[in-house]
Amino acid sequence: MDITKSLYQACNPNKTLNSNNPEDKQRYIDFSPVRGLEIINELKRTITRLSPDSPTCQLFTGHIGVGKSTELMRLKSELETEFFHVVYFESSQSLDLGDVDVTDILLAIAKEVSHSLEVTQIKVKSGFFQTLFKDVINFLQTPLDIDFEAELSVGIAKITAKTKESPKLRNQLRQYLEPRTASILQSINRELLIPAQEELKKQGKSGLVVIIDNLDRIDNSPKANGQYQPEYLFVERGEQLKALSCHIVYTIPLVLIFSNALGRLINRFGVDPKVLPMISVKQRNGEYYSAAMTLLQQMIMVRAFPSVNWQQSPEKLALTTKIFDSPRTFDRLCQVSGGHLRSLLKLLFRCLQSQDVPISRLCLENTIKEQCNLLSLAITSDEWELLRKVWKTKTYRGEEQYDILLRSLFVFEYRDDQGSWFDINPILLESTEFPRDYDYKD
Amino acid sequence: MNNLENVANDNHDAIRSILRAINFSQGQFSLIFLHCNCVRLHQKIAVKLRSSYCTKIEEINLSPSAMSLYDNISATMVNIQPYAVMVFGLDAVKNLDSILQVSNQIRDEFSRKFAFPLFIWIDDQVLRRIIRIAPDLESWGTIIDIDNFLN
Repeated sequence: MDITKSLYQACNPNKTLNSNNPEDKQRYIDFSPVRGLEIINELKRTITRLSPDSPTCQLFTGHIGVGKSTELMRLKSELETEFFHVVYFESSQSLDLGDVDVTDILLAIAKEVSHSLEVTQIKVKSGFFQTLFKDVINFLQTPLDIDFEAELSVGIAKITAKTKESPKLRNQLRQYLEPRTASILQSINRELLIPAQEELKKQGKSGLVVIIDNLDRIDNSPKANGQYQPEYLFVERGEQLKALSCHIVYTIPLVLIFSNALGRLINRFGVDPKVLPMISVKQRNGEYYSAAMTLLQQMIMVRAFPSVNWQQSPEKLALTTKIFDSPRTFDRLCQVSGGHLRSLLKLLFRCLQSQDVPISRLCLENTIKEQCNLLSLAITSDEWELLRKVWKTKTYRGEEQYDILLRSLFVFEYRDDQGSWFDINPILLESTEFPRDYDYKD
Repeated sequence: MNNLENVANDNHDAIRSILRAINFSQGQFSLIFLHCNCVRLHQKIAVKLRSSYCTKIEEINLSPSAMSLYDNISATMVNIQPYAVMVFGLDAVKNLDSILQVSNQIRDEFSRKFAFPLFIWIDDQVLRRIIRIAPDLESWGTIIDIDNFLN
């Protein structure tokens, strides 16, 4: 396959690296030294070192496109090498993220865990759920063909599939289940999670870990009681979400980190949520950080030349100029990405739509201008004012009007020894809304 | 492929980018928004693409009452494996915000089920809403600024 085409496919921004796939594993770059935090290690240590035998509940979040799913997949594979049975699932597949309640999450977890156990030949029977299914079918008065002797995951899947189609049915189901949350929780623990872990230990496993991805995507919309959905689920009902008897990692909406509910959230779960930051391509003092730049460049070059160690190669320059007209074009691409991994892939993806490799400086600059113009169309004049403030002060105030700046990737967050600092998406610096004397290094 | 070469040689950058995106992405899902406020240009490009790819590009016209992008695309996909899909009419749907919100939440389903490049025509107003309420979805694709090629 020609290199432009294979690089194009490898840069497709909608692909998540799966560390169980050898080709993807090769593409994985460990950015933890330049993120300012070793988040995945911390999550892993809590499970494997601090509390291998008693359940833990941890919270994980981060900006869109910084590599959350990729890092969670890595957590999964690292835990597996330490003999944990890991159930990873994307909640968007089981749940309607526009409208979620605690029982939906609990049932999704029960379904995914029991399904994954069935695959490893562990059969768990739950008397409670058999009765519950019968009662639910009676209550909903809807014909559902469930074999009550069949596996738990099948029964849950049938019920949730039915209610996913119909908001009315879902509401009815919820009215039925919500008052029974405590007993559902208890039965998941007693009839599923605890016996499962006993079986897993017999098979030589260290324990059971459930990783729930994509829950950060739940709508930030108000519930009927006026409370916002993320706050309702993780603060109001957090007590129940953390009561499961196995290791759990939830992804939570980033908005909680900047809301005044953060204190209560930490109280509920007894842990600080872990936030995955951008790659600090630049430091707080404005200087580019060469270690970060190198890793970003490696991320591109491993996609262009999967079997070559670009960094160590005597042909480094020759390889670089196969992809870019000069190393400076490559530097410029990485700098303008602001250390946001998906932005980096997107820019290159867009360049490759216009031109074969080597990508010229002109093509890159045209793409940057194009993307700046498009992003700028969405920014109001008030927001430009806020953006100029962020740019000058490198700080960000967690007020409502600022929410959209982070969510829409107008502002990026970085970490260093002193904590968080913020800057605007470097693409926006191309706009005439900014003075031309910024420290743009060519 | 001859047709592709001819059009590519036309030196029309927008069409060239679209054709390259189709060509590079066979068997793989990719998401590309085509930003264009000028209806005439947008029709001209569609005509040109049709002539270069005959019927291989599946065209979907959303009705103003459409409720879901995903459902409309999957309904068209029964028994066909298209070369590429092009969606028109998002700028005229009544429930734009809710369509975008849902698409944002279920974006993984698009890549799981669709193994072809998906092009969606958008104007200024849709672009603004996508960036503001469907940022995950937006971050998954690229936007080609067709209008820009006019200037």
